[in-house]
Amino acid sequence: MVPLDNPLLDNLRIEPTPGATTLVIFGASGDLTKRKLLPAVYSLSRGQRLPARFAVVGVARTEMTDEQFRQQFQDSLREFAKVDARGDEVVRSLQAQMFFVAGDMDDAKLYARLADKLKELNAEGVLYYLAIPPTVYGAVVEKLEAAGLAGTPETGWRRLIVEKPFGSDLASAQALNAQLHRHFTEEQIFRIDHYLGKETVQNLLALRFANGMFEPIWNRRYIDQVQITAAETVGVERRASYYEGAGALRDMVQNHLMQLLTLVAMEPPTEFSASSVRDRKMDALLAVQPVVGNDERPAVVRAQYREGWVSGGEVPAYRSEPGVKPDSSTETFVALRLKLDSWRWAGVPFYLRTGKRLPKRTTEIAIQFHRPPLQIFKRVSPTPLASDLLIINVQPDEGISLRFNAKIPGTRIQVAPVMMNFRYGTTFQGDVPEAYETLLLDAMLGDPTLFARHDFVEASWALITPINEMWRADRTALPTYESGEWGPDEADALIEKEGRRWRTL
Amino acid sequence: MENPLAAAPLGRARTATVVAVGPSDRLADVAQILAAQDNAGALHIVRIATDGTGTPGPDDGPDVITIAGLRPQFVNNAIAGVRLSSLPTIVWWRGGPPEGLDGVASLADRVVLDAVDPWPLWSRTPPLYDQTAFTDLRWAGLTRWRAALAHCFDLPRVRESAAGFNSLSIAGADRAQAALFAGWLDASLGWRGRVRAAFVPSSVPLESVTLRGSGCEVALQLLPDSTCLSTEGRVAGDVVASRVVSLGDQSLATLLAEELRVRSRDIAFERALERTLDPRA
Repeated sequence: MVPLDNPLLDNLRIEPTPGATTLVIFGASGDLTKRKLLPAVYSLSRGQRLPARFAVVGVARTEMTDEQFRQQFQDSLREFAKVDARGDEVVRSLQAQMFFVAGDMDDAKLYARLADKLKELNAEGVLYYLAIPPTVYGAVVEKLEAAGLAGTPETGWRRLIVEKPFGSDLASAQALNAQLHRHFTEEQIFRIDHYLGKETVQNLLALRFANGMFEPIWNRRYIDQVQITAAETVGVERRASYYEGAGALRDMVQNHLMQLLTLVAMEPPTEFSASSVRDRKMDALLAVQPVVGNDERPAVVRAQYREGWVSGGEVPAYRSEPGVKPDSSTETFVALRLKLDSWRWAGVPFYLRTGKRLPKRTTEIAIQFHRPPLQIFKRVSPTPLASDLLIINVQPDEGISLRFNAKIPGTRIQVAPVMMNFRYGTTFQGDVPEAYETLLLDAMLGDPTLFARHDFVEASWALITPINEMWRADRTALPTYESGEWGPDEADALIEKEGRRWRTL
Repeated sequence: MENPLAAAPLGRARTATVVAVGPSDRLADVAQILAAQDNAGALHIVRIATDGTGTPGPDDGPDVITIAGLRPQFVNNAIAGVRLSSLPTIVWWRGGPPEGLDGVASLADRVVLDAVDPWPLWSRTPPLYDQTAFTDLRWAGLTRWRAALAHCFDLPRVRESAAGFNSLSIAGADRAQAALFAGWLDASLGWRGRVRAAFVPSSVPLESVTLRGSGCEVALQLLPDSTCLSTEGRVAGDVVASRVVSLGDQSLATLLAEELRVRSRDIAFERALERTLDPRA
């Protein structure tokens, strides 16, 4: 009788590793594999988080030998992780367990060869990573099942990581989920939203539910508004072919911002478990009222960047970027106001904005509290009091700040806002893991807490799709904003008509 | 163009008081070691010299407090006076009269032992377990080794064979560290002295660990460049695991940083130490 538990794990310093795992990367010669996945595998290995038996099988159309794939691993470490892997024994040991299977994703022979390879490796746990365009997902999962590589085997497991976008609207998301579910169960599917792998996003759960002081005031009685901003200084860069068909709404709001919103808005889970956390997030998402189709004018603004000046240089307009149509109507900026119909949040607006070519690269959640009910200092300190703010910085400077009012030292009463700052980088020692490390490891361990569930994806698309359809039907000129500005005037008007302002960032 | 102000440290969120206790020659580099991991001053650093000659170190910042000339029985009073309120106090015990440990235990949230000769301290430690959380930097130095061995035990075939292990061989220059490793295995695998441990001298603190039994062997071996370990598991002649893992940075600063990240009792350490001190083990 084999003892079930490993007696040498202490859950303090020696963290559990997955059982024997083979990582099969579809799209192994692609950009994501080189930039993120292979460096993440290396980092996990350096941190002793990989199992004693671990192998990587790269799959791609590109013809490559095992040796060439191993060299690609070394090259990607040099280029994207700044690691000189020559002479690195850990790298050499990993390379010895890296293999490559070439073939067309539609070709059944590819999967037969893959099955042979997995058999040869005596693979137990197999994690398929679909680092390929979503249009190919269907063919791959179907062929995996046809080759007997999808179902849960007697010993070990089979799991599937799916990269975004999970569809382009509600119908396509439902179709994609249905397609995946025909061959894999929901428990086997891990939909990556890399924002959820970020340390601060996870810390938001700790802030809310590991402290007794925040939760009692985390509601409409004390909170005036919530602003969630995801701002980029970069333009479309090399992603024009994808971005032209997506835009900021589908690229950022449907997934990342909705995830952040639900983490702020969710009720406390009963425990830190995947089902409990994801159920509560789902409840919050279902409380979000449709932006389009109610009696109000839709509180959403889109715009596209013009030429301007960002990060120390002049930049072209979106329509002048390589790969972008000169008359493109793709939005590069979105601002919207959402309402949640729940006892906790009734009447509290959630303002979301995201855009490219904005003045700063920053992602944050700002919780703005009500002002005191009585302004007792207004006669002696004429400056209006600033609202108290709790700011969760997601990137680039991960941390939490609290703004409150304090008396300026002196004989007279003068009140001014002050900021207390907590920063991960300076407060805690040690490296913060990259999001892909966290998520890859969680998938190997079978922990779906930080992955998007099918119903979340569909509910999110149900909110976003009508906005997109409204825009597609709209023949009026797309508003624009100068690169280096915080979006168009319309975005300011959206919030100012409700007596509020966007936070100064 | 990045905003230069955005990159500047924004104040300090303090996390703990670290009190280094020991003879002055072992305290000179304390601030430097801690600065390697704490460049923003999240730690409140105090040095207490037990030999009465403590002077500020060359790398001390203005916030590092140095206390010298204390009689050993008053070390605890000094800690009580200088620790930050409401945050953990971690005592980094680098030497000094072992009896001073008794008074410190009730004031510290954790005590990190780091003495040249640990045995007199270790023997005083188990009775103090209910007062504070103990650890030893020798234990931190074993984490990577322990993890490498533990991962072999993730494999069912190795776990299945664990009951058959009958010999343990540890090569290393640090006998105390080797004994702690053996104590950990004894406590974790329930050997109760059944498996005899052999300690083999070496020129490096820890060079190899080999577990053998009927038809099963698990071996860890430090590679020549001392940065990696090779691990191999064999069951019934089959190689069930074979790989090289990183030993990580084994510098004092990094080992201490590992200890500063642990904020709870380390039950595995406590049990390992008890088995190490048990004359029957």
